[in-house]
Amino acid sequence: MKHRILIALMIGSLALPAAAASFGVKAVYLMPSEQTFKDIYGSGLMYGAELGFRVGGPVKLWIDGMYYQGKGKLTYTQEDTTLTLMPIGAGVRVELPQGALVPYAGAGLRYYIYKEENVIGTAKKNGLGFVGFAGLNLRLAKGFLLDLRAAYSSCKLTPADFTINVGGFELGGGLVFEF
Amino acid sequence: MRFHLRHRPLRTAALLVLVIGLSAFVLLATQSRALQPRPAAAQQPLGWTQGYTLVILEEGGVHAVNAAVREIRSAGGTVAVCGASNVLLGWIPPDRAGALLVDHGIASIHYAPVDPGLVPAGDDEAGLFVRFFNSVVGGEADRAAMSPRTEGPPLVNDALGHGFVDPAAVTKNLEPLHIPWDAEARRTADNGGIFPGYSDTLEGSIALCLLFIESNGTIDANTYTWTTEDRDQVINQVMTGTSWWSNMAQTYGKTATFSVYYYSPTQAQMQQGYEPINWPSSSDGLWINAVMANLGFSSGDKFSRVTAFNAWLKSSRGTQWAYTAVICYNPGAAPSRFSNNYFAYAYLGGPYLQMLYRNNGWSVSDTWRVFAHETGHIFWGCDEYYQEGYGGCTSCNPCNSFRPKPNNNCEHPSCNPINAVPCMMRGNSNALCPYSAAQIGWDVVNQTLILQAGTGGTTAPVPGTYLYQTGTSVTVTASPLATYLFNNWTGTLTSPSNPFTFNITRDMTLLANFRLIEPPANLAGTKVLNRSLSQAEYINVLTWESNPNNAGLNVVGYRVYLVSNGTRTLVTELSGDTFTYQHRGVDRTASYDYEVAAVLDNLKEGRAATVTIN
Repeated sequence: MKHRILIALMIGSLALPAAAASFGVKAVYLMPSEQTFKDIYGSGLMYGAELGFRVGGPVKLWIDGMYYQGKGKLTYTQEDTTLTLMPIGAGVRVELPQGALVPYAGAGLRYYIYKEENVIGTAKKNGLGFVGFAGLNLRLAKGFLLDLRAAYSSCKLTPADFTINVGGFELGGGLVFEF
Repeated sequence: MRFHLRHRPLRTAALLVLVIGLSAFVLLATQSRALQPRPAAAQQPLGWTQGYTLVILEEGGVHAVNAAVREIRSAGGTVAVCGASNVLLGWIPPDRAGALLVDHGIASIHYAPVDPGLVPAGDDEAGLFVRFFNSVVGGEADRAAMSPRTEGPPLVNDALGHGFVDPAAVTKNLEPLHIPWDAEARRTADNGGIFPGYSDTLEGSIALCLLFIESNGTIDANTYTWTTEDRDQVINQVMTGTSWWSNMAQTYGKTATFSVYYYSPTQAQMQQGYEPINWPSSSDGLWINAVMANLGFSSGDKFSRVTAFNAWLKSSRGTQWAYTAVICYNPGAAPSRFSNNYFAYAYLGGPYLQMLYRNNGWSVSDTWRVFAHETGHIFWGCDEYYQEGYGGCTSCNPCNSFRPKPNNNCEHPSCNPINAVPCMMRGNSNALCPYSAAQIGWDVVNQTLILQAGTGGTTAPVPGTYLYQTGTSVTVTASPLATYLFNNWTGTLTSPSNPFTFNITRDMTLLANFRLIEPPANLAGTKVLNRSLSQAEYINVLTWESNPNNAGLNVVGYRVYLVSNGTRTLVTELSGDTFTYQHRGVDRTASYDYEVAAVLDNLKEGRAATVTIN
């Protein structure tokens, strides 16, 4: 069901008039909610890009794609382990412009592509989670905005031996171009 | 036999004889039921063939021969084999040959093959001796000894009790010949004793007569008839055996010269009515009594007749000792054993040995070993063979009361079953152990070696008491058990060497000390989780420490074993400075048993420490 909603949102966004669209690049600092995640990989930056499409009034649809790669050590042998996360999300957000400031809040679904490699083996798993966020856009010039945001995401996967939550708090920002 | 049991010593002697006789009977009934051949001993040159010398005298005859034997002996040589002809065989150092050729009746001395024409064509014995010499120095005898071959089954139970004689019968046999019966022998025989005899000590001059028994069809069908070629083969083997004994005597500082005579099967005296190979050996009196009667010795049983014959032999040949070899014919088509499975045997201390042309699995070219073994018995040498279920020697104890010498090379489990000293009396080997030497009267000064092994190993020869001739170079080897290390020898001598070779000059005690290679100290194990975010494995982590008791040992590594259902599987081998091992990917719920052992630079592995990880 989650998959269908996400796909419908993405298709719907692409069908909207381009005049109310935006494109942004962003970087967020991921603070995992799973303690083991933090123990092994710590917190780290996640990079990505986002497209937004105004659908009427303050409501926008958005889609984004993020990339995260963490390097850590196995708990006993301290051998290298690498985690790669690629969440692809879509959802809606509501913007309430206040002059040059545009506060917003939104939510959506994220499809996580998970891959972890180390001497124990390689674990791959994909799964659906959610994300909720709030932020503030600061208009720097015509068509250019500075984006500051905080988000909370969650996605529980069982790639191998454990069920883990690959989401967490995200603090970050980016640049947005409206067209 | 008549017994006069008037006196206690007489009764004792008679009882002894009865026991010996009964034992012989029982042994006769049990020998060689289906004894299997044993692996052939390591092939080696005969040894005595080196420097073998042929001496041709200007004339033959017993007196000339005996005189030449004495001259050669005084010149530092040895005559191994002689007869009545003018040909002698033995060893003469080449640098002594020149002196002997001057005015001693010696015509020539040879070290290389000679033209058989040197001796008269009609002299059967001389021709045989020359042909034998040529085969020896031509290398034929050594080649035969070196060639792959099958050895026959062990000669267990072939040493029968000394043959008791009837003094009156012996006397009656000798009187017509005007042959004096040895006074001492006569005295002891008259008193029921059995010693001394005519083959007490294998030393000095020894007359040996070969009787080639032939059937003439008057009683049994004449199935087999000796050929000259087969007779010559046997004589060659007998000369090999006597040369071997003569050479062996030299190594023990003794001299033994065999005067070998024979009655050919074609001679009338050897013709009798029985075909021996079709009879049990226990019936050998049938043909022996017959040929003895033909030879003029017709009173008493076979022992009395052959004893009288030996007395005549000794007297007529001017030797110190005499014995007889009875040889029956069994060519290829015939059985290789008598009907009771015996094929070769001898009476301890004489008076005769019996053997066949083909001796049950022993090749004809190895007949000399059978002959030499039986000759050892003739001179009171004990059997060192033992075969479970068949018999043989049964302990390290002496096998007779005539010369009660220990028999420590006996292969009986209670004596010396594994680390044998090569010996003619044990495996028909081309060697003679000091026990046999002492038994046949080579009064070597023996020293006792008490060999002991401490905890953790054994020795070769096995721990026990051994006799060695004074000055003998003795090598002992310590063999540590698994997880032990040889440490040193202590006792009369101290040495860290292994093997340890020394000259035995007095009674000695040697203890082989072994040291346990201790297990690693404080071996511990635990199961740990090793995980990433989504993956996990369990690891059994073993830790240990170097054992301080292994100080001084060069521990170069540790071996880790996994033990499952009693099976020990090597998991890894680590360097000596590694004291931990991680067994990865183990089952979280399973229990694991580990052993860890130190490995030394000589690859010897120590006792293992064990740990279980649940």
